[in-house]
Amino acid sequence: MEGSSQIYEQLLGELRERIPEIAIQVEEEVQRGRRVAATALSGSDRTDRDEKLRFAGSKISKEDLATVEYSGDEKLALLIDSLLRLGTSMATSREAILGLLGGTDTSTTIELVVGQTGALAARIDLATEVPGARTAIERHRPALVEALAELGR
Amino acid sequence: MTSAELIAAVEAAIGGLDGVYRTAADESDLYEAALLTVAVDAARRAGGVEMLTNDGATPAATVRFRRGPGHLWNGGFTFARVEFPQTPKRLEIHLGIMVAGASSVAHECDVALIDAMECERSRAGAVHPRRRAVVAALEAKHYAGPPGLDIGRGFLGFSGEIGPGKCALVFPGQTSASLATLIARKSPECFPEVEPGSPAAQRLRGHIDQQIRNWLA
Repeated sequence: MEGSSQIYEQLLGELRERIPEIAIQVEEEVQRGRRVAATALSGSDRTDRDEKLRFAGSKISKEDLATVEYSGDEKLALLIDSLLRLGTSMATSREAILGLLGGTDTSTTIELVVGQTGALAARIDLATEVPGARTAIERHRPALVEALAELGR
Repeated sequence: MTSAELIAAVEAAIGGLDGVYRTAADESDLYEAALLTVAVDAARRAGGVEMLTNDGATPAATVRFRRGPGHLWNGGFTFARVEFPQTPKRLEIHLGIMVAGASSVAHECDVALIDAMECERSRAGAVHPRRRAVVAALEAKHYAGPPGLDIGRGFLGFSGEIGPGKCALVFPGQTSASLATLIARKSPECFPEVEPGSPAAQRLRGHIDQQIRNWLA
């Protein structure tokens, strides 16, 4: 997609403001790059390394590893895929826990308590949160899937 | 889809998901609790009957899960107690408890399936359960993107302490080629793309089911 690197930067900035932890996960993976077997490199990536190694009196072997940068489309796809997985896991996690409590007399509100101190960290009413989490991902899933398809994923 | 439409769609999704997203710690805790449900389901398939309890004797009225590591013997936290009608063996499934590893250092297990006799010993003596009584242990990482290699290296260290064949690294994101290669052909297992109900969660459930059956045999 034309301008995909710029679009990625724009959307990453927005994600950083709204859900920073997920933005960091995406950003760190992009900074790490894709590690691939040197023999599996394609096009100019392979040719460039072949020439440099030949100059050094060697050649690419099957043990060689290389790191290549994510393309603009790949970065954008990674961000969108991460949103899909986040939305799905938020919905399915809440549903699974509520399902375990279903049919018992146990309250559907769970408490998260600091293990060492016993301090209450959060109280979550799953019966209230499940519909919102499911609606959020289902509302946006079709467009995100279409966007991934547009990027060849 | 034009680039403008793509931007609008992703911006709308970020806003919509942000409306549900609590905090990183809350979402991580919810993911660990969801993995407990996968472990309970595996125990059922292995023939078990579970009870969610805070005291080991009565059903929990309110579920209280740990945030961060805690001691098994500190009461009041919810765990699953599983009985197997065909044997006297019993299993407990805990979240966020410390387990004594091979180096005599205690390590946090995000989800731990432990022989109930060892859990009773732990409560009686206020000592951490020993690794030999661990049936299975899950290291949960709530990563929507691919976790880095540092996560894999940490997991291999953890599994060396608890027992490689018992441990699994679990996360909802895709794996990276590096992480998959690092853990491939080793005893501890890696389960990417695990969300309750997903094909990967079914594979994880089957893996835990088999570990329970091996322990029961």
